[in-house]
Amino acid sequence: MALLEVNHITKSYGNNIVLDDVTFSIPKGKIVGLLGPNGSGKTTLIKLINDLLKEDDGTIKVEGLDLGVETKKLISYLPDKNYLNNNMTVLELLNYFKDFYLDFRIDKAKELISKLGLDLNQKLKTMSKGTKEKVQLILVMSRKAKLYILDEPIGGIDPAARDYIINTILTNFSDDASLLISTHLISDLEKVLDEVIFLKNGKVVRSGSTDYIRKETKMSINDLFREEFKC
Amino acid sequence: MLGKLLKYDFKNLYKTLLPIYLITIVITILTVILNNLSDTSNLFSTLNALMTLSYVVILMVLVVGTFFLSIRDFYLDFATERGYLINTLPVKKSMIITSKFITGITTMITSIVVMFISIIILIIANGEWTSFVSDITNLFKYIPTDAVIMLILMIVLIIVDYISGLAVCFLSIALGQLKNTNKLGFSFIAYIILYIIYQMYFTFSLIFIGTICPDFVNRLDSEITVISSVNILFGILIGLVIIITAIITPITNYILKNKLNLE
Repeated sequence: MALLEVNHITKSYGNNIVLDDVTFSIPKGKIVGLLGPNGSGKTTLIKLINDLLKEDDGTIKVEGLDLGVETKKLISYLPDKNYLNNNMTVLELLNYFKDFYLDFRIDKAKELISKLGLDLNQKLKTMSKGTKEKVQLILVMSRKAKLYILDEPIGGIDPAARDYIINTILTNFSDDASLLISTHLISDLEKVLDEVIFLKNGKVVRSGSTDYIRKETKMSINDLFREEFKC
Repeated sequence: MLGKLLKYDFKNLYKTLLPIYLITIVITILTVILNNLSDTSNLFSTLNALMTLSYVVILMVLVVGTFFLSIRDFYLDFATERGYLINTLPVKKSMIITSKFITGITTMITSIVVMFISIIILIIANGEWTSFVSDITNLFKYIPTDAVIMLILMIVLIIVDYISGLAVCFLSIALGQLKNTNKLGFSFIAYIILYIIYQMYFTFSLIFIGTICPDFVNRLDSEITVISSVNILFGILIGLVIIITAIITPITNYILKNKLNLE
């Protein structure tokens, strides 16, 4: 059974069809890239999987379960925006996650925060945008979830910080978990992706294992992306 | 999980409310001091007038601000980016809504308690405490049982009406968040429409009761005392408020559970 099954999902905003009959599945233990240019429907799809939006048609299942309280226990989600309460300190946020997520590893989070040189009593509002994003990532990756969904984790971040983020992601998720990572910055992530899903104008235009796609097209994923989404 | 939600909701609200409580008490004490000094010079007299004005303003802020904070908290959790966190927690929507109701009513009660403490400080400072206590004692000594019941029913009505007010605002926000743009504006429009429906509900319900039970209305006019009539009216209003709140709240839960739109 696939960890995540997305079946014939359609979503519109008024007359604008954002996702059109999207179908794919993600098995356990894979790092999957959800690739597409801005406005291709990546964030909408991720929000649907996280039950923050409702689909017009189709179904989404996680470990065979319909979306709800039980699937939220399995998914660790990093949105593309700052979603935490700016008035909270880092320690308060760690305790918040510990209170609500049984799989949250607070010692792991504290270790990562300390490596970052942050004070646990520092409030989020006193931090730079980049530091806030790192704190959010630490919180999300400190869960021992089944499925990590990261929406543009390296978008708008300088190259040095990108390395930190990619390294944090790769060293903090377990082998039996899967990771769905949305990005349009392919070159930084290509080497770690097992599978990719290309999303264009709300439709899946290509999906499969990165090795197979490279062999089939004789192109790197990055080059293929540029070719596929050429303006 | 409800306990954990309450813990963070209370923390969140009291972070803003506790400084307001402190300011209320400080302004009360300053009002007392300047009131005592107002006869000594024109400056103190002017300052006293200003402080009395500030006192009235802070009491209004206390009550209106508490209500506003509860509504704002709900709006932030269901119509803004902050909703990404609360709505991905492994918690039922009904629990989140329950927590908002409990924190909303509790914070209003604490704000009213602070307001009473402030008023009591003024009474004590003006040397009127003994006569105040004696007046209250006499009032309760000679008050008829019906009037005590009326007082209790009035307090119950105020509480259920406040909860119902929160419920209407929560439903307005739930409806407003269905739109992709200007969620706040649509929440406000939804509130106006719901408020009209809410008023019509009370008017038609009372007319309906009067129509199906004409004897009851006649009895109110003739056989029962005025206070007893008021008590019956309060009882009916409490029932009507509870019924409308019991209808509204599941609708809010349904929308936020099945139609959440954090676009």
